[in-house]
Amino acid sequence: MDQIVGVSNFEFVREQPIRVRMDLTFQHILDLLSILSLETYSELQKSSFRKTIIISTASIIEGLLLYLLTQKKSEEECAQRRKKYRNVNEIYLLDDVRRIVWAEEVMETSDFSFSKINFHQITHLCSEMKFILPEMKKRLEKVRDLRNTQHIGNVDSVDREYSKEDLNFVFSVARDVKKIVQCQV
Amino acid sequence: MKMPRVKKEEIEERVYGTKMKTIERKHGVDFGLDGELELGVFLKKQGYAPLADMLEEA
Repeated sequence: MDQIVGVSNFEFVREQPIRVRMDLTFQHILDLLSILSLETYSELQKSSFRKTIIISTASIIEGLLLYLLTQKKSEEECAQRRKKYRNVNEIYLLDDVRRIVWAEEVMETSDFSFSKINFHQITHLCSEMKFILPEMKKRLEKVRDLRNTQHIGNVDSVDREYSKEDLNFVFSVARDVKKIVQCQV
Repeated sequence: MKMPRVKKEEIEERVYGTKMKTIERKHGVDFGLDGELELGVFLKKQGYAPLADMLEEA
């Protein structure tokens, strides 16, 4: 049998819709990489393929880390808590910018939904909850930067070219994130 | 947003041992390789070892 069907590259992901999406995206990456090896494409075209591969790889990384978060923490645990002050009353005016007050302190929980968080928030939460080390957080920020330069409306210079080194950097992060998630779920 | 349903036959899982001839056939191209070459080995030869590492063994 030359085509192996039924084996997932993300077998540890128990939610089938997520696993299928990851496999399809991974399959797309592998297809594009195979095509990249053909001599028929110019360097500019190859750079465009690499852009797409970086976007797809970043989405797998994002999906894996979000899956980890959803498996380990509830939305309530991920929501930010911050102090708010109500009924603020002035006791003494110190100067133009400072005053002593008395007030009611309330802990407020922000609205949070796993379906609405972005790459940056996912990375931040995984770091806060010690699922990833600071070094990995830095690498993830670099992946995000590489991916974000794809947003046409948010750059102030002519698009850069994407190299094989960029690809391998993003792949190495994806490989390590896969291992991290695999070990923790 | 609701994602469209994916039919089982649309998923062609690629693993380390998937033969390159399978991929050649899908794209209708000839990479000029030994068709029996495994995908993982191909990726390593192309200089993409980290991606080859992500592939599961069959």
